[in-house]
Amino acid sequence: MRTGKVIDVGNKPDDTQLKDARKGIVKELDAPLPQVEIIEVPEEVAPKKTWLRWVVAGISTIVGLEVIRATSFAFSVSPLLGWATTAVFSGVGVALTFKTVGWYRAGKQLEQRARLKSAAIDAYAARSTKVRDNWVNDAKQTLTDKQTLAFIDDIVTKRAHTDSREMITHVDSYYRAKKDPAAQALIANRAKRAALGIGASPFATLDMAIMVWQSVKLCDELCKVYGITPNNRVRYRLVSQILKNTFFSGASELVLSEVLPEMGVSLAGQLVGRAGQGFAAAVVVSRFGLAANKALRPVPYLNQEPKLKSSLAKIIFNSGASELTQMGVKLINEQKTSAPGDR
Amino acid sequence: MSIITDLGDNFLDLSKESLVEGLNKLKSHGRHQWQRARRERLRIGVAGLSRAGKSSFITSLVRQLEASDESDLLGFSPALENRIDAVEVLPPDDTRGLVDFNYKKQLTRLTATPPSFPEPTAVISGLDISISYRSRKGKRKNLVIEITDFPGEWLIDLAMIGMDFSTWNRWQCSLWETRRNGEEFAEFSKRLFALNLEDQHAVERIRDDYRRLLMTTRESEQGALLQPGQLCTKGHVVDVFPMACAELIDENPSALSEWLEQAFSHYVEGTVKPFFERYLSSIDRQVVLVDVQQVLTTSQTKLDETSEALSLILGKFDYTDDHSWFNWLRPEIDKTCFYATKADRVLPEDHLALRKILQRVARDAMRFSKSHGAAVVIDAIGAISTTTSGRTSDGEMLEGTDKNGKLQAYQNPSLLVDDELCFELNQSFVAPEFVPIMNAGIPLHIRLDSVLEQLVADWME
Repeated sequence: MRTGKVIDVGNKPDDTQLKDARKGIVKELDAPLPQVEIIEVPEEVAPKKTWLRWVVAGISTIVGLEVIRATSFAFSVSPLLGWATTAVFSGVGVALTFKTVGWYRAGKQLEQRARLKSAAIDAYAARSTKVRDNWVNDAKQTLTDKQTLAFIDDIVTKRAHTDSREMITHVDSYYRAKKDPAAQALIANRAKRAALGIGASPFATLDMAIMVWQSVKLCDELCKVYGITPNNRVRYRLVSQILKNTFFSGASELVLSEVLPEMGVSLAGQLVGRAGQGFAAAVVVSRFGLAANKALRPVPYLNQEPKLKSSLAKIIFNSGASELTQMGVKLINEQKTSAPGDR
Repeated sequence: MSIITDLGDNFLDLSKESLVEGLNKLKSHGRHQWQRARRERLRIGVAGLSRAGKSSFITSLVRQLEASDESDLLGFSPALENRIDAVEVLPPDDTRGLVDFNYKKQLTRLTATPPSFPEPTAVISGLDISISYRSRKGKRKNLVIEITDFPGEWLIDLAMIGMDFSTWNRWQCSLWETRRNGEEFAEFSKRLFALNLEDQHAVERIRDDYRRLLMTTRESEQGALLQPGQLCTKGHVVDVFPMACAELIDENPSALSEWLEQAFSHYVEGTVKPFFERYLSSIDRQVVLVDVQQVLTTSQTKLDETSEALSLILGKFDYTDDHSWFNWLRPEIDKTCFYATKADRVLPEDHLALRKILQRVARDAMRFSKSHGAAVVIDAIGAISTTTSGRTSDGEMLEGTDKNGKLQAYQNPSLLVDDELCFELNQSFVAPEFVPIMNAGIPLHIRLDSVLEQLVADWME
């Protein structure tokens, strides 16, 4: 028999404790209460790279001086040539300015996305309605996808009780249901194309070109799925971020035999002999795609993070025998009927 | 064994009718077990002490599922992914031997004007929910969720399994001593001690007295641990039951102690064990509902009693860390979900406090589940919400409508201050009683989608 246990709670709270306690109020209402408002939180200013500004200012000054010298020289030769040179330089200058601003703004998207994701991790840990409101404000400033924003709005207006952890869980579920499947399909599709292209390509340089081309296309497609406008700066930043996080972790990871355990026993057991270069390309593109997917998502994967094996399984099981042969893959159950097609 | 039991007294009757009936029962048992083995039948136990909100929980959960197209189930992944094709509410499978939960009647109460809460559980009842859905791979599948509703008072009797009469008697007497009507019990004990067992009228009278004393005490003081629990269900007849007697402690065995011991064994073997084996021992997932606010409006004793009751109840189940294929042969619980109910009655900012208090109340029960490998979930839920929150000059408040249609708002007192439970503040505060909020025939809820995600989503992958 248990006689109960002593828990050090339930004593009469002293005055200092009661100071912050709510005593409880009951009121009669003439009209419904207004909805809970979201508290505006000023955006945190990121530390600026002042050295880069000085370098840009220095280069701009040198270029500016050179332009003035060239224009002066053109005017000294002929006023007509001078005006023509001025027009050309002005046109180039305006185009460059627009391009640079566009490049700069587009590049900011990834930084904002990373900041939002980092805030999501904090919000998940916090379990607070105030932190939820802050994250929602950040999301509204960062995300452009109307459906996602409507989903977030729906939670805030209909579910005042939702705390920050629940909000992040809901957004993760939303992405898992609505966005991730499309991203997974794109990754499998581009990886298969790369595998088939490299399987058919007779030159190593062409192999490289196919890989880069498919990776860039995949990067653009994933950006669109997750509501980011792709441009060269985004591609560059995304690729460099992925290279840093994924491929520089060890060259051995690119070796297929090292990747097989990741694919799971059932799938790895299906492969026989040497999987060809084509399939290796599929592995690389899939890994790139998965890393890009992770970087572009505004919330971390809370569960069911897509694995390399699921992408590769899609490629293998959705490919015909001839396609597999072209990739250099041979399934065990087909071994007895035909020989593996090595390149 | 249960198959043979279900064949009833006619097991040895070899007439054609009884053989056909027996074969039909065997067939339905076989189908039932086959579905369980294939993970197409999930049995969920909903436990909780009386007034924890079990009937409301079941009614709202079923309604949300039934109207999954329209209800607010953002956190339930099969609904979010549009994988649910159809949901049908069925009477409990014949093999379960339960009366129908009468979901339609409970729903009618909710959708009436003004809406009212489902009736508390009076008898053991159940229902099956058949869900047709598509798996993540696109395969069409079916899952039957079996839910059993039983009076909360009955659960506490599980503590009697494994006890002998003298241990039980000492325990119950120590509990009675702490009641406000402890003297009344002492008086009763004296009368019981002097009972002439030959006088059937006197025996009946004393049994009625004990039943009345038990019911009055449980109703007035919420004595969660006082037993036998089945006596406290109105309309439920128990012929033989044990009674606690303070006079018997430290006494040598007598005819009375022998008689009470027999009644105890009879009650445990004939009533409690069959109840446990038939309805509780084959559960896959366990839901434990606790009305934390009720605990806060009473006392520390109530908190301790609720805590002890929960650990005693949950200590009787078998747990596992992995729901294997063989679970249908020897059912074990792989997940226990503790929910603080009626979260709609406190401000959203207090939901965290509700969880913290629940952790304290269910500390031992949770530790037991965890140590046996079962996953443990804690949350604050409102199965049928009566309030919405909004802002006034006094800060955030909860608004709702009472039975007379009057709109009111209130701000509940703090539940926890500096991690200390605010008993006094909550004892002196009376929150207005509001009617359930219905949205096109679907009750407004707090986190029932999370409940569904935790309970069934992984069976619908």
